[in-house]
Order: sequence, then C-alpha cells, then structure tokens
Amino acid sequence: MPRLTVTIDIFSGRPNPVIELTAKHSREALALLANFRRLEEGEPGLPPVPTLGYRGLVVEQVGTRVARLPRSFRVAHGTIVGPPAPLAVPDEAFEEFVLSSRFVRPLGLGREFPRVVAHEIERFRKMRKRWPWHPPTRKRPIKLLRCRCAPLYEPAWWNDGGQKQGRNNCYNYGSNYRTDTFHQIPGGSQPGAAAGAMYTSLTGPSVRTAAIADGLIDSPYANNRCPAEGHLVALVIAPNIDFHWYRKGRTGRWSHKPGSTPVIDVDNSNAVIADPRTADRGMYTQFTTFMVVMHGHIRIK
Amino acid sequence: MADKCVGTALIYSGRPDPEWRISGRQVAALSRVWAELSPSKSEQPRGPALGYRGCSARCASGDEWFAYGGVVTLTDRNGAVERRSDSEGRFEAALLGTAPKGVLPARLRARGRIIRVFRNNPG
Repeated sequence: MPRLTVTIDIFSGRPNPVIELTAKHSREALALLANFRRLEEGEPGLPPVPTLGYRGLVVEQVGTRVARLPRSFRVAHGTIVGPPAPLAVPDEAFEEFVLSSRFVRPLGLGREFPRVVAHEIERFRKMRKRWPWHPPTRKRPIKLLRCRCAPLYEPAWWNDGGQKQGRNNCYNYGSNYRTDTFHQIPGGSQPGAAAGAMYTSLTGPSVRTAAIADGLIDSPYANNRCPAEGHLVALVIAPNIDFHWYRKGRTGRWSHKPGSTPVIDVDNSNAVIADPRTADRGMYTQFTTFMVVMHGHIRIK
Repeated sequence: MADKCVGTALIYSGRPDPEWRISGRQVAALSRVWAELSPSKSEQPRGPALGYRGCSARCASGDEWFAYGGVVTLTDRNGAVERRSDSEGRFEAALLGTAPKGVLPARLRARGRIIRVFRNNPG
C-alpha cells in the first residue's frame, strides 16, 4: 500500500504546503477515491492554464502504487485528473479528509488559512464550470506565427538617450536582458562575465563559449529560422577588435544595438536586415553562429 | 579650453569604447587646431551603424568636442553649440592621436592613418 504525499496547490510566491500522510491515513484517503468512474463530457474540467489561487490537491503515491490510479494526479471537487483520462468520484470526501484541521493545523500557516482555502475551493469550483471537459479530439495543427516567442521591436523603449541606451550594449539588446552595467562596472554587459567565464580573446569560439556559460544555446544550424521556444540571436566578430550581436524579432526581421547607440533595424548600408549573414556588417566580417536565448534562462553581469 | 579631458573613440559595439586621458598640454594643442578651423553651417554627420562613428573629448570644465566626417562640434558647459569645418580631418586625427599606444585597435592607431583607413575601409 502506498503512502500519499499531498500538495495543496494554492500559492504562487511561497512554496505550496505539503502534507505527508502516514500509511494508515493514506489507506483511509485512498478508500475515498476507490469508487471512481470516467468523467463525462460536459462536466467541469480544469482551466487550460494554471490560475492564481487554489488549483486542487496534487497527490503522489510513494512506494507501491494503487494500480488503478496514476502515480501522480490532481484532485479537485471530486475530479481526479491524471493520465490516461480524468475520473470522478461521487463526493468530495477526499479533499475534506486531507484538508481537515488535524492535517492542516501542523502546517503552521495560521488560523486564517482553513477559511482562505474553503473560500478558494468555492471560487475554483465556479471557475471550473467555465471549462467543461471534452474528450480530446484530433485537431488540425494551428499555424503559428513564425517567431511568436521573439521579443517585440521596441526601439523607443531602449532609445531613451539616457540610462537604458547608454548602459546597455548589443549583448543586452540581443538577449533582451537589461543590466544597465555597460561602461559602468568591470565586465559589465560582457559575455561570460556573470558566469566567471568571460571571453579570453575576441574570436568567435571564445565569445561563443562565454555566451554559452551565460545560458545561451548554440544553434549553428538554425539557418535563420526561429526556434520553437525562445528567440534567435546572431554573433558576429570583428577579429581581435570586438564582437556584435543581432536579434530576430517577432516579425522575422533582425535588429541590433551598436554599443551605446540607439537600437536600429538596418545595416551599415541602411538596408533592412533579412539575414545577418548577408547584411553589411562593416568591420564585423566574421559570422560566428546563431544562438537561442531561452527567456529567463540566461544571466548577464 | 586648457583643462584635462577624456578622449573616447566611438567604435565598438560589444566592448566598451576605448577611453583615455588627454593632458592639459594636449588639450592646448587641440585648441590651437580648433582655432584654425573655419565655422561650418553643416549638420554633424553621423557614422555608420557598426564601426567607427567618431571621437570625442569630454573635459572637466563641461566642454565637449565631437569630431567626425569633416565637422567638429564643440558643446560648452552651458549647452551652446559651435561647429567648424574639418574637411582634412586635422582635428579628428589630432584627437585620435592623443590616444596612448594600445588603446585604439593596433592597425588603426597611427596618427593620420586612422582617418584614412576608417573612412575608406570601415572594415
């Protein structure tokens, strides 16, 4: 018989409270889920994306699991959601059992917490009615925007003539990561500096390695195509002089920020940049690679 | 204008632009070149997106020279702007020439050669 670990999925900033049931209590709790049936079409389902506030109880079976239930599943208002298909039990006794004061009080979340949870359960019940469950059907694939994850081209935001423009360089702009450290601190806005692995020479391999240390993903075969997630940047080198970055925007056009100067979307010949490999890049004669920036995954000093 | 200044060559994108101290004596020499230039009604030309985009001298007094493309602009501490013609690039070369060895890209640091090379071949 498994032991259950139950997470009250309710918080956003704080860690969710976790209740670890004893073997005896796990057995009692699972008995409340024994008499299940398949969820019928049209019964309340779950919102397509997680919402703020109570989102149900996440149950994990530790040890030998009850074969008829998934290893991990979500329970909300008597609905059991987990692979392969959602189930329903006749009542909400499982939630009442787990959220009883004997398990919640030791969590030390304050006297108000049970009342808040009760209120949230009712709020979530109303919300679920807006998302009736339907069996999955084969749908035609949705045609996505070519660079749907790429940042917008917002030159006015960067080109303030002050701090944002002057203290951020091509690497900040390319990665869409404002630090306000360019020219301000040693290693400011430099690839690899945040990871303690700044480039050691102004060559493609050295700067690329430094950028990888910051969390960028090398994509030499991207061939100017946007990634499914994150956005595409391009690294070019003025050998032994400098490096430069371009970024591909949501419309599929490239833009860049030369040093402390304004953000622009044209090359040295004032032409729109369809592909940085063929743009007029002045002294940045070596195209090194395409890379992918996964939003939130990188760090720049 | 004989105070100490900081010279900057606007050239890089990823790295910080090179900066260097300009001594009072060098500033005096620059002032002499400036005094020999004739007034200009031209707008200050802008450089290309990437590569050399001009050079400047920011002085402790608040005055600042900016030289590029045959025009030198002096902005004084009160914001007053004066432009002079530098069609031969004398002031620009003199200003870049105050950079110590090793501050500017090696192949471009030679005084006089800088202007010619950057203008003719930004790459």
